[in-house]
Amino acid sequence: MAFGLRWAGTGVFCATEIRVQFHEWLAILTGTLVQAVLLIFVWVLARDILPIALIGALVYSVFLIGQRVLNEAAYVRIDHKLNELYHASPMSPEAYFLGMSTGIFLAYLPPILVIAVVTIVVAPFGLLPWGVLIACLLAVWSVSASLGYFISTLFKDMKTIWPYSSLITNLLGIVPPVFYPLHLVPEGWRWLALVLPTSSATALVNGAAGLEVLSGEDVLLAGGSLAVEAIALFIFGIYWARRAAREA
Amino acid sequence: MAGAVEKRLEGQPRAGRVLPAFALVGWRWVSRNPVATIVPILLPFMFLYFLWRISDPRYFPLEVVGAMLFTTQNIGSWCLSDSAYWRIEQRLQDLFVASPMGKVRYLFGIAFSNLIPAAPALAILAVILAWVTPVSLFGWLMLLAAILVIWVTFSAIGLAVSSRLVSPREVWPVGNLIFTTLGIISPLYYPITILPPVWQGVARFLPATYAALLVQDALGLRSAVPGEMALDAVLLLVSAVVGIGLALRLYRWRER
Amino acid sequence: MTSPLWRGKEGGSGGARPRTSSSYKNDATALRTRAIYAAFRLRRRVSELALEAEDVRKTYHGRSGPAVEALRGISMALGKGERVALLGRNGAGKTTFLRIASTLLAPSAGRVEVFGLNVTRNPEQVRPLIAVVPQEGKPFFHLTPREQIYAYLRARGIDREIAKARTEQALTQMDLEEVSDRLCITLSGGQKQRAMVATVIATEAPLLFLDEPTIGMDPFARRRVWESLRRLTRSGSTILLTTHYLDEAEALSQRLYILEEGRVLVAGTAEELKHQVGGTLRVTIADGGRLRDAFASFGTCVREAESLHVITGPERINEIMALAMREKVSATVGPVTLEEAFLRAVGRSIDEE
Repeated sequence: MAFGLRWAGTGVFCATEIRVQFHEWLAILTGTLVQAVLLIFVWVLARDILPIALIGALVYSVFLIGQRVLNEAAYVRIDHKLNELYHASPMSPEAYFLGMSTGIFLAYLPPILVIAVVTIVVAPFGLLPWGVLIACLLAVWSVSASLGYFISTLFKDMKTIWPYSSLITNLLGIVPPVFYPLHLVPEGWRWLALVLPTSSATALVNGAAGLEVLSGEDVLLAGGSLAVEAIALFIFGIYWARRAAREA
Repeated sequence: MAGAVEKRLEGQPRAGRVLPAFALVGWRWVSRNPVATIVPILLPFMFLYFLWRISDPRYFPLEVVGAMLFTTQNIGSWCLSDSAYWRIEQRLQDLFVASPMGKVRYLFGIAFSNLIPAAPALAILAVILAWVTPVSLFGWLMLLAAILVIWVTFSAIGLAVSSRLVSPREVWPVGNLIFTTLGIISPLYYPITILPPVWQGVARFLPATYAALLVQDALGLRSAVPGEMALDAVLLLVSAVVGIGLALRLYRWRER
Repeated sequence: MTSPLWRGKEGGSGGARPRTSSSYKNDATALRTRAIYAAFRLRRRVSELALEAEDVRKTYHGRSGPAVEALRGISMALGKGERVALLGRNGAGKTTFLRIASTLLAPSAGRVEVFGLNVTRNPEQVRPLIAVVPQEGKPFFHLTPREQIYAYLRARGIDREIAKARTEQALTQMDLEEVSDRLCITLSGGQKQRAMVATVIATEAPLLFLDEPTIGMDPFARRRVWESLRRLTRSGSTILLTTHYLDEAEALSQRLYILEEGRVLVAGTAEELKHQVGGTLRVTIADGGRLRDAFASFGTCVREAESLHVITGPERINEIMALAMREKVSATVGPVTLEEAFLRAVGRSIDEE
């Protein structure tokens, strides 16, 4: 299939997905509650690290989009079988995957922007850190959306999904230094924190914003890992989307 | 034929039984999805790890108690989810409505079946609590009582809300809104005294707050004003009664 | 079994008649008189009717949009041990009525009694006597069919040993033995539906409500369900089912009610309804829609898309076939089915919205 044709329909499907998500505005509103909980805990218990926690909240919010992709893709496939309508159509499976992921990302942008505004007010920083932040957020989106889509194809009922979704969200969002600084992690485990997509993104932004000090090696490890993960998982997401469509 | 009909009429049980049915439902969910038991065990620890990283180590025993109460409170969101899904998607509630089971037994059954996956997490947290701080017999009894009351209260809240949902897609955001918000407001993981006064005032309206204060008092994790424990216990029981009343009143057994 | 409720014309199968409130009342009155006499004799309340509905109405008031009048005065009666079907197009009100009668939904007006107990005022007394297969119901995904049936029977208060025995029996009746220990989530749609039906027939409740019970099933499975339902009524249960499968209504029910737009249009046995059509044979003329005038003199003509169905007697067949040959259209002959009766009563095909 010609490259252009392969992605045909992405925009329309993306717009459809945005409309669907906006119908569920309550989900969008409550989608930031966990971040709010964690920010409040930080504000109550360790106010000095609040700027780092705010950046972590931005990264975590984008990471949660992957969970929304997981839920949406699973719900559409398991409960409604609507994926079959799209797979048996000129729309390619990768356009379906990208349209859904992008649509959910755009729909969930408003609360992310609210957190961004709070960040600007509480901890203003320059253009370079913002550039690093945007790049990292896009990378995290790529990782989480691909992961979410992949996991969504593995299950046959919605109730079985939530423990895995919950595990991933917490393992990658709460345990690593996303809402707290990297220097609180024991020395021997820092390499792991710099390899995981969420904590590596947070560390890079914190470093660029001057909130934490990162060595050149740390930056290389974090940046390299994040870039590789984002590209590799995106490619895997496309591959898996095609494979899942054949098996649907 | 007339005899057969009458015999069939006479032979029907007039009351249902909750535990045999819902114990099987809950146990099979856990036994066939071990992750469903492991995750409720891991989640509090992940959260405790986060708190341990950012807070004063003195608060750790208090945080363990908070994790137990939050795990119990979260059963309410599972009840909300199960009840809504069974009613809206699978139409299983219809089977139980048209049966001798009755609304109260059915709601208790859902709450009980969701206690089963949470039980291992509570047990492990109890072991950790015993390890990090001495706990008297009175302390254990208060903890157990608080967990039971919180289980009943928040299961009731989850069930009451679930009957008003019309689409399974509403389950996650509504559950998140209610139970995460309640988790934020109640001072489960830190002393209430470090909160701003306005927040303290709001928190004192919530059953999880009474449970947390009661258990913290019983375990000697905070020094309370004399009589405050008794007041917290009474308020906790009152909130449980209110929660159950709301659930029974709001839960639609028959559609209108 | 001939229903004591249905009295056709003397000396024959009679004719199904449009159901009016007064005709229903005559049947129900006779049975009620017998019930009063029986109650006096036995010194306890007795009803000869498994279900009695009078002028049941239901209006849905949605969150947005105008109110929808789903039922506009349904009256019917089921004798004990009967199998009765509610037939109608999608949206006719079948499910709404069934849900009201099975205490799942409150009516806006009217009275429904199950074994003499009012379903609105005394639902707790009614519910031990009934069981329902909901439309598009699904079993617990993480249970096997065996566990699903057993758990439900125990939930209804049935003792362990009896529950086990009935579970095995229901699995056999629904041909689920091979999948009885597989998780319901892994079953096909038809198997899941059979698991739901098995769950409810195992209860052996005195009154069973089945809302489109064979949807999604293959023909063999459907026949197994029919046989199980017949067995249940022979052993004392009463059954009310909804369906829009005409063959199912004809094969399974002893009487049926045709609903349309929330009203009972006509009621009777399948034979009575077919006799009402005005002939015993149906000639289907492909592409005969344009030739309606030519064939009109032979009997009742019903157009369905491009085809024309002519309801007539055997004495006119030769003429019709000759005309069809002259017009160069194909014609097939078969017995009148319930579909023609339905078309005549409702004025549209059962599959039309």
